[in-house]
Amino acid sequence: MAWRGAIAVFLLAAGLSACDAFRVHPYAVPQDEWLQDLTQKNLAKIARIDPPETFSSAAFGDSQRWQDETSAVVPSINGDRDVLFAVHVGDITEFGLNQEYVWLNEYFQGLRVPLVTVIGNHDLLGNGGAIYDSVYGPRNYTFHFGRTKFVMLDSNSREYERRLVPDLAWLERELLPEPTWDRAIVVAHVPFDDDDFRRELREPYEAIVQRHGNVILSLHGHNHAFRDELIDGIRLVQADKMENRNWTKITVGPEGILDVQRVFF
Amino acid sequence: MRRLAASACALLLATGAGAAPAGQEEEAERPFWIPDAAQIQHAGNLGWIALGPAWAWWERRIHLALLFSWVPPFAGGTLTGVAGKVSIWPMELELDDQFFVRPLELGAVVHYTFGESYFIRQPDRYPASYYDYSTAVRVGLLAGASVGTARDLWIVDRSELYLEVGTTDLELYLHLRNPETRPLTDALHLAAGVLLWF
Repeated sequence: MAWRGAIAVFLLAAGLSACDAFRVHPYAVPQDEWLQDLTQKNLAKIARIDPPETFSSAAFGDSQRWQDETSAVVPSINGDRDVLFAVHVGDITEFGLNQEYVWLNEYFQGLRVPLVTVIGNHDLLGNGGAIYDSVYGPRNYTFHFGRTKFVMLDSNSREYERRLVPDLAWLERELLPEPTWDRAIVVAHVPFDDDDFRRELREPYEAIVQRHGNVILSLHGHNHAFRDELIDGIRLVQADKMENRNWTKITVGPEGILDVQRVFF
Repeated sequence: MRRLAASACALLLATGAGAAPAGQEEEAERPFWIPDAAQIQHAGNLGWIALGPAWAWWERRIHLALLFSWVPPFAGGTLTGVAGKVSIWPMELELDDQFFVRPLELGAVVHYTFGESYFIRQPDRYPASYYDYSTAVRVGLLAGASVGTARDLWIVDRSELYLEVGTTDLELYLHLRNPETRPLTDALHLAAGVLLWF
């Protein structure tokens, strides 16, 4: 009888676990199908867009604990018909929790345009890195939009104790000139001039980015403030945090970056 | 004999088994470290399954459980941890000779997740106050109820099925920080479990 009771309870628990309210662990990797491989799914959507010579994308980041504000960025981006895709520059979550990845992506499902992301240092907390890998995909990847190549890079140096991050060998390979693209934009959460970017990698990063003269922008987040500056000859744009209720509209043309402007909502 | 069987069960399974608290005299005789019950729980942000020994005092009005938690790969793991759970059950209502209800449980839980990816305080490589919270330790509050039977089942002389609603510090924080988009219900989670008294 006791065994039957135990088996019944076990089966009941297994059945109930299908319900979202039965949360198994703050750092459990989400198992929902819609939360798997989002990078790949969104890159497929981007690949279906016929890229014009001049296009705009929406950069925003550091959504973190500001979920009310992050929910409001979605209609704001949707309202700008120039924007063809959006880029989250990292720190999607505050604590790297399962539930944050679920909730924030529920908002992002409302975006009219595809969304690609880079991982931020907060996203790596606890088991957050494994959750990011499952929800989005690789932490370093690239895609093309017309003649522009986007190089998405994990630059969260301080989060890795036993590994040199960012992976500059990979970056260098990806920035070698190819006939399929003319210009590149590097997107990474931690800016290369920040203390959280591994100090001994800053000069090599700058050298790689400048070597072929094809990188038109180094796009970042992390510092919770907007910046648009030339740092050692490299144009650095840093998107603001969501709490400040603005995103960055970046317009790219055949000659490079045409315009960078903040859009408040 | 029942105590012997229960003690053996406690040692072998580490889920605990103690003597039946048939009366206060017997209760007083029982070594304090021998558990009174085995507890098995699903969810509650502790694990896909969490199980371990539980102790009770004051005619089971106060519980303390030590639960080892596990999230298997199919549920989003592998994650392991340990939780300490203390709760009060102020009343018990007998439905008939065999069945009872305990309509209210109030408690608190502290859960520690094992692994080098989790910290109690941020590692030295970060500047001061870089992360001013723990990733390894979660604290939570809970309320629940149970139904049970006092029928003897093998060495179990009392079985209860409980359901709990709870919250953890970070779930509550995200609700408080985002009142427009994250209602209180988003901060709450459920747990279901069983208590087997020996």
